[in-house]
Amino acid sequence: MQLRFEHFAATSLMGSEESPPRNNGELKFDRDWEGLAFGMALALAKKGHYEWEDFRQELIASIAEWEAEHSLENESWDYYQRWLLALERMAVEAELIDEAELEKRTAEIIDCKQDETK
Amino acid sequence: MRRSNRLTKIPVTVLTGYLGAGKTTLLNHILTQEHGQKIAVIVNEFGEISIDGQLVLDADEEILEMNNGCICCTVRGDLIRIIGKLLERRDCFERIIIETTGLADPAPVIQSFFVDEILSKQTQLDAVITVVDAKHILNHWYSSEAEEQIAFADVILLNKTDLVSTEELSTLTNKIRGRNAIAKIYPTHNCKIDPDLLMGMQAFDLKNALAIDPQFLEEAAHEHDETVASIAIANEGIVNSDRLNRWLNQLVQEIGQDIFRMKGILNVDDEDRRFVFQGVHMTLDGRPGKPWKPDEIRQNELIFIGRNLDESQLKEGFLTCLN
Repeated sequence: MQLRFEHFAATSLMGSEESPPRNNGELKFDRDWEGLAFGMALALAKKGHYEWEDFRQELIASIAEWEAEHSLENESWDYYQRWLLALERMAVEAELIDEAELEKRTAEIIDCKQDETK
Repeated sequence: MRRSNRLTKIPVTVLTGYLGAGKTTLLNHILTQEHGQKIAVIVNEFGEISIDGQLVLDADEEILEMNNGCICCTVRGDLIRIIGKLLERRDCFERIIIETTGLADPAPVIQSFFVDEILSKQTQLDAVITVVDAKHILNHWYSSEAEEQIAFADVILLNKTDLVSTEELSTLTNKIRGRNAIAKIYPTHNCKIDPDLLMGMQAFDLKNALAIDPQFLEEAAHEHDETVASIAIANEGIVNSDRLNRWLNQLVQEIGQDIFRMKGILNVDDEDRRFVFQGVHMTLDGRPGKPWKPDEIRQNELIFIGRNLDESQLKEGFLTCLN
C-alpha cells in the first residue's frame, strides 16, 4: 500500500517506458526546470487538480507522438520536453491556465531571455 | 476528446455460487441480452455439466474453458495466464466474465487481480456476483463455500424465489444481511435481472470510491449472531499514516485468514485526497483516492467482513491510529 501520494505516483512510473531517467536509482535532473516540472506535475495531482493516471497517459501519448516522427536513435530525444508537454496539456485541460495565456507567458519568457543575451 | 485516447482498463465480473444455484443461467441471460458489450467468458468446466459450453457458445461469444481443475486454488496462475493471453487481443472484447465452480473460494480469484502486475494494470475487477439458491441454501448454510461466497459478494442474486414463500425469502434476506452488510441483494426468478444492475458496479475501484454507502454502515452496526458477519467503523479524525500502516499490517498478520473482505476510506494525514484501501485475507491494496471537497466532512469509514471478528478489538485498534 502506498500511503503517501509521492510514493504512489513515483511507483506507478517505474519499470515502464514512460519512466523518468535515473542515475544509480535516483531521479536525475540535468536542468533545473526538469525537477520543477517533475515536482509540479506531482503536486498538481496531489492537490486534486487532475488524476495521476491521466497525467501518465498524457505522458505516454506525448512520448508516442515523438516516436512516431523520429527514429529511436535520434539524438534530439529529450524526456523532460515530453514531460513538460504532458504537464502543459494537463494544466490546460484542468483549466489551471488557458492556451492563450500559456502562449503569452511562454513568449514573454522567451523574449526576456533574448533581451538578456543582447 | 483527448481522454478517449487513454488506455482504459477492462472490467472483470466474477460469478460465484453454490452448485445448481443458477450461475450458468445468469451467464446465459447476460450474454443473450442486448447490452451492446462484447464479452469474453472464462468458464471453469470442473464439476459442471458439459452442456454449459454449448449454451454459452450459442450466444456467439468467445469462450475459453479451463479444464485443468479448480480455478479457486490450484490454477490461479492459469487464470492469470489466460487473461494475459486474452489481453493480447483486447480490441476484441470490452469485458471479461469469469464463472467459477460451485465449490470455488473467491479469494484467490480476487487476489490474482490485486497481485498480478499485468492484471492490475490492464484490468479492473468490477464486482463479485454470487447466485444463491433461495430454496436450498439453508441445507448447506454453514459450509465454508456458502459462507465465503456470500461474504465475498458485492451483489447477491437470491434466485429461485418461485420456490419459497415471501416469509422464507425475507428471513433468508435478513440472514444474508447478517453475513454481508455491503452486498446489494436482488430476488430473482431464473436469474432474470437487468444486466445493467450487475455491470459497472466498480466495487473494487479505489480510484473513484467516494464513500461507503451509509446504509451499509448502519446494517453492519446491528447485532448479528452469525459467525461470519460485517463490522463497520465510522468516525471523524485524522489518521496517522505510519500508525495505520503498522496497525493494518499487524491485523492481517494476526487475523488475515478470518478477514474475507475489508474496505476503508480514510482521512490520512489530513491530505487533500482521501486514502482508500481494500483487502482480501492478507492482501492489502491501497492508494490515494479522490480529493475531498473543500466543505466536506472528512469521515473515516471502514468495513470488515469476516469470521469471528472481534468488533471492540477492531474499533480500539483503529482508534490508536488517530492523531
